[in-house]
Amino acid sequence: MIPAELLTQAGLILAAALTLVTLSYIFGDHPVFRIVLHLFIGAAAGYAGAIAVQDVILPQLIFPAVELAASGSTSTELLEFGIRLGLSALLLTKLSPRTARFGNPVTAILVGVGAALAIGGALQGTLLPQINASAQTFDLAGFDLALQGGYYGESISIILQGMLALLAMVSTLAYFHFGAEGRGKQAPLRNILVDVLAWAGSIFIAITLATLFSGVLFSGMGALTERLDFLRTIITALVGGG
Amino acid sequence: MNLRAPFSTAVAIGFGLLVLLGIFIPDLADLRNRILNWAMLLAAMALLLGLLNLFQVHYQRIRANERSVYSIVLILAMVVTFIVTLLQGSDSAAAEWIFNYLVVPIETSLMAVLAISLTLAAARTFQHRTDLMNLVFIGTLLVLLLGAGPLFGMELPYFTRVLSPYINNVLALGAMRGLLMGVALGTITTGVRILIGADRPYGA
Repeated sequence: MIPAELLTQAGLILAAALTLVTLSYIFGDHPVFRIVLHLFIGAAAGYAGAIAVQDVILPQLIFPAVELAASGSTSTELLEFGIRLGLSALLLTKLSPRTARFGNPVTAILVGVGAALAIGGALQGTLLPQINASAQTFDLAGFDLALQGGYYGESISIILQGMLALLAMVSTLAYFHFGAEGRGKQAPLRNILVDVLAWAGSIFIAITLATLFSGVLFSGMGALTERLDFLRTIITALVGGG
Repeated sequence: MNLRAPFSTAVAIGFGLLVLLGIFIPDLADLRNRILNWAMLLAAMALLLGLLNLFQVHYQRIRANERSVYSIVLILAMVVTFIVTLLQGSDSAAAEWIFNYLVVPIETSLMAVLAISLTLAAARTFQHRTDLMNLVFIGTLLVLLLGAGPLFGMELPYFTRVLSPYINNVLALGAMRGLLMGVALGTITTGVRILIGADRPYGA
């Protein structure tokens, strides 16, 4: 049995080595980096597969089979288990190109259920809440308060900010509107109002993409700082013997 | 036996509609949950199938002696992690060791490399394209970077307290809302196309 302290120290040195190799990609691609990348893909895939087996396949397929064999069960439970087993077996036919077509109906179940969940999620999780939030773009309570307090500049600012946010939303949607009226033999032309809105939309989209970009950049900077600090700690400990 | 287009399409439409109706009709909730459980099992099986496929592809590369070092490393890492995590559990010391000292350091370091790659990409974009959209993008990015916090120990209050919050809370908020609504509308359209059988991404 390897002592826990030794395992931790070996782990820290391995982590530091892997960090150094991965960060060295900044200077260009090289074979050691590729080995580390393949190590990562293998470990991550193995971990995800084990979690899927442990949390889903064992409790939904294997344990019920053991229970059925050990204590017997009602016909409903047997039918339920039969369906699960049948669907899983059909999906496994996808392993070979010769039998893959037998797995199509099972893939169709996954796609159909996924599509339905996506529709429900997009509708209830994004579209309706966003429409609701858009309806509250104008901070009416703040506007009332500013007006009552005599802060007219503030109240105008609240209205202007609401109008700007609304314009940003509408023009962004207009940017992705590609409908155009036919003009006989001439090329179809987009409505001039939609065209102007789409131009404004492109500006707002550039601003939003820059905001998202900066968010990812800050996360990356955070990760870089954390990794460099980790390396500094390990090197200090190794050099100082701590 | 032909299990192609009509049968698979009918299955996708039938199961999809049952799940969709189950969201809105409470009486169908039980059936919907049962179907979702089956779908969850199938998704896990599909993941396992993907794992087997990955193994198969790299095993063939090893046999063909084609970049075999990478494939050997990948297969070893996958098999060892899979067996250790499965036999000892994901919260065991061995699985946590692999996760903490192998997966997390590489993942975080890749994220760190991303920061530098993104900075370089932004600089290159500015170098090669100077249209209005690009100028607005770079200008906004500079303002947000200057407004992120103190620069060499010096704070720029106009950037940190006025410009940066204004961009985030007014300009980007509205456009982000538009983008999210667009994505949601696109998702619904794609979903509906599958549920009416216009798109059949299941080998039918």
